[in-house]
Amino acid sequence: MRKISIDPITRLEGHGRIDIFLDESGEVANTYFRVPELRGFEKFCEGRPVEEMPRITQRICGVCPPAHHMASVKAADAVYHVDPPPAGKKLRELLYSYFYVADHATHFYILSGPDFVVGPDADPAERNIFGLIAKVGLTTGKQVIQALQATHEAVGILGGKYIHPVSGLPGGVSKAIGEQERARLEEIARQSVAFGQLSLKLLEDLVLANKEYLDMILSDMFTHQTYYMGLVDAQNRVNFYDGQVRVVDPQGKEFVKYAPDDYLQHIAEHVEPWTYLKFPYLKKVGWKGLLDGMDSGVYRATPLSRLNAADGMATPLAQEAYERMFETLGGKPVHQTLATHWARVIELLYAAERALELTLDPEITSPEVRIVPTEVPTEGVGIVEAPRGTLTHHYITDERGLLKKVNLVVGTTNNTAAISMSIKKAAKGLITAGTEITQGLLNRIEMAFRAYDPCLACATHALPGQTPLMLYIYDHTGTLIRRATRDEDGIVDERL
Amino acid sequence: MSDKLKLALYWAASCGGCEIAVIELGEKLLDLMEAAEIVFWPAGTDFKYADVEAMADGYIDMCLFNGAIRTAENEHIAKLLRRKSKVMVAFGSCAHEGCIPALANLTDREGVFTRAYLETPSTDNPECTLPQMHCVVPEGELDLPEFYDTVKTLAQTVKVDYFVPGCPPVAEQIWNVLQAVISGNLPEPGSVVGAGQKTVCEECERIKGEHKVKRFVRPHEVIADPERCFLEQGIICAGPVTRAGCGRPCLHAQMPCRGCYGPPDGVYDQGAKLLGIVMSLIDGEADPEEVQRLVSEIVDPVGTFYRFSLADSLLQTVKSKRD
Amino acid sequence: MATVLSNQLDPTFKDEVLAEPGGEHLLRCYSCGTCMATCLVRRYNEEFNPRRVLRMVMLGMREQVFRNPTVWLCSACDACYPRCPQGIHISELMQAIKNIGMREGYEPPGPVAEVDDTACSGCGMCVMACPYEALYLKDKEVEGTMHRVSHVDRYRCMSCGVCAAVCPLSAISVEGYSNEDVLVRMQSGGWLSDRQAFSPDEPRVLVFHCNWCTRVESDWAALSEFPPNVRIVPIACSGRVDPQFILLALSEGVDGVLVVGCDPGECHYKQGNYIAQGKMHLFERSLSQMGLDPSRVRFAQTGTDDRGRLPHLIEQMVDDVKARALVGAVASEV
Repeated sequence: MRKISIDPITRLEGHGRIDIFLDESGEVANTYFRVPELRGFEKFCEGRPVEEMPRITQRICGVCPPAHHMASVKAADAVYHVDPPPAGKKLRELLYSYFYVADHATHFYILSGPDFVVGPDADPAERNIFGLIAKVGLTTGKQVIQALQATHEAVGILGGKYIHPVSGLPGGVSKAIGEQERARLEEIARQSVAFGQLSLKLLEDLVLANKEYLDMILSDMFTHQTYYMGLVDAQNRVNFYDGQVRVVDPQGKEFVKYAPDDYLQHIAEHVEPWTYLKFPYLKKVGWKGLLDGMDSGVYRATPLSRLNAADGMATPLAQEAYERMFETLGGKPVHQTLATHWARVIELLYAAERALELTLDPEITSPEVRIVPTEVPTEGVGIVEAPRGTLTHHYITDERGLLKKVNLVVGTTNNTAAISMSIKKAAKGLITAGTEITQGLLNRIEMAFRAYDPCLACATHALPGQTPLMLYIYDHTGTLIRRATRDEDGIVDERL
Repeated sequence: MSDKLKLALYWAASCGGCEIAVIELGEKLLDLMEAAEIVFWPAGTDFKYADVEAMADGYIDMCLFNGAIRTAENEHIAKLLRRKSKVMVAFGSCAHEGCIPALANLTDREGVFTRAYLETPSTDNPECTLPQMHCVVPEGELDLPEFYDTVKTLAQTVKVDYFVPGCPPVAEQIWNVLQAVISGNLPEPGSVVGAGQKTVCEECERIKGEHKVKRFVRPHEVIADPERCFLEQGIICAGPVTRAGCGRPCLHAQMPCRGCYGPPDGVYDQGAKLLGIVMSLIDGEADPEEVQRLVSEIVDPVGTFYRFSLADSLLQTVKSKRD
Repeated sequence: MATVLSNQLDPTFKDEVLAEPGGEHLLRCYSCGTCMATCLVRRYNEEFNPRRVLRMVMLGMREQVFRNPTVWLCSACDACYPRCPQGIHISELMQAIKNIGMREGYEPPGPVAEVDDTACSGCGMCVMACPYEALYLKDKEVEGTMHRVSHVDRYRCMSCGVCAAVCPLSAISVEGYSNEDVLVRMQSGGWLSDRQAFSPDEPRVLVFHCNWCTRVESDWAALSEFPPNVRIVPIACSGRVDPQFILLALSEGVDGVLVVGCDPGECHYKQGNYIAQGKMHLFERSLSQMGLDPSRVRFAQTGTDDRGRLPHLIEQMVDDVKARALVGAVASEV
């Protein structure tokens, strides 16, 4: 079969390639979304002190370090059976809110924006942030840049620096804020709310008002009916920092809601030999393969999923935008993958509003931001919503708090199956017999994964090595005629 | 063909933080585009490997290469970009000295594999399927790059002209480096650029030189005095063995330094130097038993002292030569 | 020393010392010489003689006392104190005499540690590491701007070199024991890098020992008898050993590194041996963490009364290294 490779895939975080196999008639036989990178956090974190884990695990990803930082520090709290003082938790959530604004904006403007603003078929040399700024104009461009800089500054005030902040410790945070810092943070939060509204407007003007894009968003080629997952607070509203994990089925009905400690009862990870990514699925439904529907355990954890899984947003402007989106797209749940971009901007607005709420909370300048744990450390689970999906850190330590076992189910990993499916469906929809394969067409296939804002460094934190080899030989009818294995000692075993 | 500086940015085994650090340049990035053009940057632009392969050797003026060398693909692209670039920069801690991914050099490759695909409690893999370097699927063949036993630095793989340290390098320093490049004002090849000559302690405002250590504590075990040197309070801080230049953001957040800017010139094993320093600060009244207690209070020596520098250390050399 | 005449003596000098805090027991001394026999400083400086100096004080040879290195070089290791039959705390007495000398403007002969102001970052590690609190941080103008840098108190510095071991910028150094000096001793003749020069049954063993580990002439003679695969590097104090030296040796394929210091309570420099103990044990743990055999490195201690101990410790290390190599060779043949 003819193989077309997109290598590497671009405008995302991490390494990946897409291999598209075309059969003799030129139709897409299959696609493989493969991730060739791995580093091995789940293993090399063994032996590390748990209080260092927020600083270590956040190097899983330099685009979303606060996500790992927060999940990790919550897991460390749980390991020490310690509940931080309220001001400590609020400062963490405040940092996290600014980060969400920055990260979602980075994706919207730098990673995926060029596809819509410059155009999916545009010259690759222009289909990037620079081309986007040229299109929207320098004034808007500078507004975007300044908004990003301000949110980075905010995270720096709270956590030391934006990329790999350091303030999370079991028991709270390392640093309180004074009135001067609070005032500056309030200023930045207000700017961020305005920026969120600007971004929504740009989305509407440049994407939703464009018929070609709207058709693309609503097309079946970019639609899947899956389960949806997201963290919700006690009122079932979206919350990034804390809450319970809620999963709704493809019809929008609540399927399960679980507390972090129970995640293993609900999530399992499937392994395939052609990628380093694992495939999480809902245990109670089961792994049926890369399939849509009620009977398939495939689920998605994305901004769209969070909005699908929740009953609303916890702040007014975001709630308004939430209602408009579902109204426009015909009710809940929304299955169109490209609508994730819309959901993402709504979340950006919510994060900004939430940040403002927190800066106005009188407790935010309290000096009581951390307590020293006193219990013997054992085991704990910390879950947050990473921008790219539900993030779980599970630690088992010895009595000194040194890691014995680490398990991570990371944001993008949740979506491995869905991304594979999205790519295949898009490829099948775009490529038929006789289609000319242009760079623009291949880019549209890439748009199928870009909606997920994948973070592949996150997704493949694990590390294999020289592996036993398994060889399958098929004849032209696709029948398996021979299978051979070679184990680590080089011993070959052939069998039918 | 424009006479702008041709820049490439690439990531090997990295987290992407160095890319975001470049984006943190903000408006300066737009200024940069007046003097430079980016010809390859998978994070931010759509050029593919085939585009690089088609370039003439030396076409790229400068390549900012971040990430450690973990796989055959990382090595392949490092060598490809080295050929196509006039100047190769090890950008950020991973490329410079291994950084966090190099902590994997403490473990066994097989153990790592077993953990990820067979052992973790959420993994459902009764057939013990493992990712394959070469895999045949119904439609054809697929390859995944080989995973090397050891994480290596960029300089251990190709010739490197300059090193920009940091996890990630801070935006002001990145800008200093880029300006030096554009104005042609770089120091001699082999230098560390975008950083100072002395150590973080020089920039740190905490009060120093007053107290010896009676016991070692971990950062969460105490509420430390924010005005006094961490080490003097028994909290391990890598400041003394870490190159200056970052502006000490971690210290501003009341957390100790962990050494991401690498050692200053003259220190050839950052971890060993820090180990030596830490154990020299012990209280004058300590007796042998107390010394042993102090030793046992340091719970993760290599993971703490070599947090960022393991791949580039002498300790690593000793292990690699033995293996 | 010039001849002194009895009418050139100052009979009030001994009263001054008696009145000085620490000098109260001067008159107990009956010059038996036990202190002189115990002390090893004489090996490195012939003029060091506690018995003679105390006699000189009692006779009133004021200037000669202050010009003699004894009061300045006594490092308060107190090896002599438990042996003095009259129970004199000799180091306190020396300090008392030294205090008088300092007030009158006499300076210690050195060597003392020296700070390179331009290289110093003011981190204060040396200040805290120094067993004598002989270092302090102070603002100083360096190359036109004010910097907080380290300063040496000449009156307290005993040149143990612990400060040089900790300084990450090589900004502080002790004459004869700088980083370069030590590295030269390790490498001279190509010992470190010239692996091929030694056959497999001559494993290379590097030995660092402090100046106070050998007690008798026969010990010193024994040290010079070791074959070239054993490289012996004396240092002032075992606390001077920088773990980087050890790693350098191991990375060049050296088979074993032995560091020898004084027994607990007997360090010539108060606590240099404890610092060495801490460093070495933590270093061994680091080797284990990395999956390397920690027994390639060893910290041993010898006491004031031990004779022949240092050469014996070295022999033992060489034998153990050979035995390990044999096991390794056998294992790889199986």
